[in-house]
Amino acid sequence: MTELEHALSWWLVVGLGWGMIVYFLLINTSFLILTFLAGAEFISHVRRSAFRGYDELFSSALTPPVSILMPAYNESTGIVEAVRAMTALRYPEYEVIVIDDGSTDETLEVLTRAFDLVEVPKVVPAEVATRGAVEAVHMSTQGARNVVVVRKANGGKSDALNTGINLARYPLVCMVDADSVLDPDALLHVTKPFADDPEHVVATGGVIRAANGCRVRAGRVVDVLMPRPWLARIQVVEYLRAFLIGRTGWSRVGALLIISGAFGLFRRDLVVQAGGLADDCIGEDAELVVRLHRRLAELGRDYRIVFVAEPVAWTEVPESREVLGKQRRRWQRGITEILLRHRRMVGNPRYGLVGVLAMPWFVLFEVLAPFIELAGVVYLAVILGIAGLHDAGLIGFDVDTTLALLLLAAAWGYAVLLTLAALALEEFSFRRYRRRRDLWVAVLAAVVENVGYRQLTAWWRVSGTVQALRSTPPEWGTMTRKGFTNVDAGAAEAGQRVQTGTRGPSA
Amino acid sequence: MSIAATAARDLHTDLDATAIPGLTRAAGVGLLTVLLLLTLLFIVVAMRRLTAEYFERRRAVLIAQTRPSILQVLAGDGPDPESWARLSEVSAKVWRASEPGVVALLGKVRGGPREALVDLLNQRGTLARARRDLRSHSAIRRCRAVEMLGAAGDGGSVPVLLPLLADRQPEVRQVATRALGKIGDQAAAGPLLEAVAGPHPVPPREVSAAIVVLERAADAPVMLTASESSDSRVRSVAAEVLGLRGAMVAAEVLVHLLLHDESVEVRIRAARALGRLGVPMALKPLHASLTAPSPELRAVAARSLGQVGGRESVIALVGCMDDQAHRVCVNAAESLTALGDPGRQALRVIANGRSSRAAAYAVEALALDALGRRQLERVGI
Repeated sequence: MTELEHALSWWLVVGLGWGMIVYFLLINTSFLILTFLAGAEFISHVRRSAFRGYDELFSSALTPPVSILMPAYNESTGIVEAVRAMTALRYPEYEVIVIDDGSTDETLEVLTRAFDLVEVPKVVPAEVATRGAVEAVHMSTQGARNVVVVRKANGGKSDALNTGINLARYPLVCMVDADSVLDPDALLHVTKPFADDPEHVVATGGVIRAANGCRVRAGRVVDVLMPRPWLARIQVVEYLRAFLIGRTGWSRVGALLIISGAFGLFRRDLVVQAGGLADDCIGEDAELVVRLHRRLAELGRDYRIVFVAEPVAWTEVPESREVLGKQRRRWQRGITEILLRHRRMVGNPRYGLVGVLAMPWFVLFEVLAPFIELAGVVYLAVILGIAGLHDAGLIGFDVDTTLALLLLAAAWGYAVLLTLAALALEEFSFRRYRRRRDLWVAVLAAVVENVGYRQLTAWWRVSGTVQALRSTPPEWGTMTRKGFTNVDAGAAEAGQRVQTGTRGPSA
Repeated sequence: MSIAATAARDLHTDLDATAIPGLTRAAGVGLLTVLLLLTLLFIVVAMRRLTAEYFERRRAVLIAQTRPSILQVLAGDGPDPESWARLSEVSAKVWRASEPGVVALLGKVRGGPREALVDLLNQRGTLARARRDLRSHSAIRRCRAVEMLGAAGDGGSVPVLLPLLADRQPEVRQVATRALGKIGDQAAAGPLLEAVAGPHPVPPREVSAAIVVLERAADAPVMLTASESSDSRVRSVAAEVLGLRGAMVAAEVLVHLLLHDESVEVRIRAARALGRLGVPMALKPLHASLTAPSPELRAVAARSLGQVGGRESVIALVGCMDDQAHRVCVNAAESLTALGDPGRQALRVIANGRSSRAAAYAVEALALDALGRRQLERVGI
């Protein structure tokens, strides 16, 4: 080996190794900081929950009314139960608008039967532009006029939500997935920041947790249990770390970029002014939040976007690799597209902490992370391979595996540590998983996550970023889900259910 | 030869990374640290779970000792001497576990049982402790104390609660606002109104809700005086409360606010309040507001006209069925149905008439009216 080759090899092994170690230390430390921030928020939240005044908010005539928007595409199996659950939420005044986005199954028919719907010649204003034409608006003849079902031509989830925004009567719009199960007080809790600070709060997001394995009765999660499949178990702890801890931390510093479409509340007037949800972007929910940040910062407005850690919306997470892969590619593609679309904000002090902190963080640690993750796997394989071959006497030169061990500690060890920290926070604050066995399973899932799952999701995420950069047609389509374990309905509910994604054949 | 190559040659004779001094030790320390922290965190999680379960069980056992007596107190019109004695004599440990449950019950019961619970809290020193805690450095303790005094309806604590409307912590201000509303002392109405516009303001919604709860506060002169405040937030709250409390004596004041106030927000609230009051003298000013520049004010005025009633509003409402703002048209059409047959007749004419835009709203309103009647028939009204 020449000296030059020697030097190059050295830099490749040592330089690359150290580069990745530093990267993983940075990303994990940033998560650790978010964990501390979330911890402070949880402590504050839990200690104050007794005198938040939710009962007064519920009984007050001054509580802002809410329009709940439920986009639905081929949801005939679960939509009736979902709407019934929404109509039973504890909130003084709200309407539920179901937007049937050109379903090809019996979504509209089952709703018509369940709620005695009749067609009403409602005027749908065009405050937000939409693609799919409204075919009919139906209202229930039962009880109050708070269930509205609009049938429209298929145009995708964003288009469905935009139609719902146009129809909404109330100043706050709450976007929920048709298969989300909300805690009874969820709407009261996400509305509270608006009531407390009406001049500044423009949007709030609720935490999303995995519903798999949980027992559901009458549209309510009554028993929080760990799912059986490991793929779902890992997602439980992943959601805990990424959604509950990550978003709470970002919200604490006023730089929340993502509010999940599964449960988010927005001021209608500002969403209308911003042009509604983008129908050419996969991550339409996060894109709306980033656009609101951008627009309000450019207008010089003093505003707040808040994440509410409790209570929650429960959603079913994928239990098959294929479905999970599609989901993760879509999410990563969405984030990449949003960052590309709003690249002017990245590092720009005009947008405050969102510009100088949150968006660069997302570029460095969300978009780049899967690439570095996979590079780390290759690196480890090469180093350990060379060391193995040398030990077997097949090659003449050796490498020190110390760096590889350090990389493992920085990347995986630190990550397990963070997930355990998230679990600890959960234990000290909400403690939703009451069975002791579920806690041990969660601890184990925090370790198992790093073996296979992490690498697989990194691969899918790389693929999602590449799709975004190459602007390939989006990967939509329906994805089957198993449905919740329903205490009452039993076998009927255990049947296959179709996912919320409202992109149908036209997309 | 490159610098990198030279450096590499100087440092290595092989690809042995241990040539970097201390690397092996660093790796060892790093791995050990991670392992130690992992173990520590695992122990923390496990201990937390075990201790939480232990304390939950222990609390349940302690609460079980007082539950029968508390239920007997709640069941009777007055305190049952035997139960009362048992509750008065339970140990401090048992009382500490039971106290939150007793405080929570205050908001759920009325009359004799409630008074008995308040007496019990007094006797156990809970309310005295709460009054002391109002001066605590901890915002949480102050909040808890205020909440407890409010739930107990402790009128004697009003003077010490009032300064907390300007507390440095927003949650203390809000809890104090609600507590003063629950206590129901009208003397608090003025300071509550001032709290909306203070240097540390309380959300107007909280203040309005609290004042609405205060008995007869809306008839008190303080509300009418507040409607002349130089601060628009105070005037807004005054207008809102006057409408919610159905203060008929305030109609003239509200009309004045609707017609002449410089703040659109105040005018909107005045229009809404006049709709709630339903007084005929509100008709003309509401008609005038249908042409206001603010679409929100026009929409609220249109809705309020439906609440006030009177066939003289038909023409005015028909006139704004072509309004550029969707909400104004919807409210005007709905209000026309609320005016009864004259309004419905006007809608039928519009539905068959000139403007397709107005016709669409008229058709919608008639259909919703029919739907509403069908819903009423279903429930037998």
